[in-house]
Amino acid sequence: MNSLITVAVTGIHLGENPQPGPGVIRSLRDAMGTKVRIVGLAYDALDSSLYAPGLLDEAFLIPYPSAGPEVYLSRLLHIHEQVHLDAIIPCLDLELPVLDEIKSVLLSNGIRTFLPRREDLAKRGKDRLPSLAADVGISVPETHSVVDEQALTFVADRLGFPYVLKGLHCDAEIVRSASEAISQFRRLSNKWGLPLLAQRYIEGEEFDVVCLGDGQGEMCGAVAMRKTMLTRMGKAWGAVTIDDPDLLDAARRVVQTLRWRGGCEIELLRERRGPIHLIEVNPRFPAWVYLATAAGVNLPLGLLRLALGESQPAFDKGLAGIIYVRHAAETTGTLEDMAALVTGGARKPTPPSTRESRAAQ
Amino acid sequence: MDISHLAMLAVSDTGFVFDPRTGHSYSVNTTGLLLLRSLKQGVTVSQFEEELRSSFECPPTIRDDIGSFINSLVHYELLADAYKMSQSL
Repeated sequence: MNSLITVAVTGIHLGENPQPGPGVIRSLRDAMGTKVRIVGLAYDALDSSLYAPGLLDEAFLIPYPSAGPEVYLSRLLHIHEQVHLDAIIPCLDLELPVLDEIKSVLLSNGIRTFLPRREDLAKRGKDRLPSLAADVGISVPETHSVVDEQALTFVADRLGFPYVLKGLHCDAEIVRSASEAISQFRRLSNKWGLPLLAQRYIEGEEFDVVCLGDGQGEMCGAVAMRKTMLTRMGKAWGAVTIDDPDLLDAARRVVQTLRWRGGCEIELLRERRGPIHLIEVNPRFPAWVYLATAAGVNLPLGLLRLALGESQPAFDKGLAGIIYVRHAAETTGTLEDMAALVTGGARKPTPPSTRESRAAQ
Repeated sequence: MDISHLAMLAVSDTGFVFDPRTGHSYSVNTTGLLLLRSLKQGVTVSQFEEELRSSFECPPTIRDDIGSFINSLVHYELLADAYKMSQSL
């Protein structure tokens, strides 16, 4: 990557439910310095990175994936005409099926991606986790689909209290009684739709592993961490990297079994004095991906190289004991900034200051 | 006796202890630091007790105190329960 590479990154809001885009961008900037130009793609004129100085070189609003592949593609090609994109790194789950549909047109226009295959996306869905876990040879908490309130009685008989009630795509709550189960069923189903999933509660410690798969069954690199601070929504606000060969081996087997293509986050639970359970496979880098970069494993750089058809960086084992605490700071803009986004769909952000980096030296 | 988990611990001179396998951290006082470092090197409880007694003026309960520290290590799963048996604690 000797010439200037222009990379579009989505998922750039760092709010209560932080998105991965800023971590991906910082990882690329750390490695590539002035050799990368970052185009932020936002869904809302108040996405925080739009106003964060030094993060984006260009910024555009894009339609939600629910607008459909044609609208999405049209907007991306319009942006491409203005800034010439070399690659897109999507950072949100719901973008993946839409991008999968339009990836060949993007490629024919010179825009590279490195996306998980559609069938693999389905295989790692929460509703198919037991089947995936069986293929991997890893334990998974007993899970039942819940399609209506009546099913909660059966679930309580099977699992006992407490158990975990989950939305199909995200959100989860530990329920401790029948009334709590009904209340959470209504909240989760109103918010995320049906079915919900009921999972046996297992006492243990949760660990997360960020991975990059080459799509052929190899795990290019991975870093495991334990959350040390949580938001109200259970998202990591602080974490520490760890070195547990059993967890990394479990993650490797998941990546190998799925022949995963791209970044992912694998959530594992180590039962107290018991086995490791597979809890979830998220199909993109997590918001904490910069922690892996700080531990010496720059997976966003690896993904970009795969997208561009270049050789992989040689990833060492990540350093254990690297900590992070997310630091929330106010970003500011003017009415003109917001007007440019709302009416024109684009804004020229405050450019990065001249940065020294390994790549630029 | 298996002290492999204990041997992995990163221990600073100030008594900050980090377990790279779980991400947990602990702090120990100077006596705990001395004992932890000795255990990591494979020193037995009796050897450590003897060393303490020869170097310092120790209370008669010193072996119980060491046992209590070992119990903490077992509680935090840094040592297997069987270790206590092997050391006659």
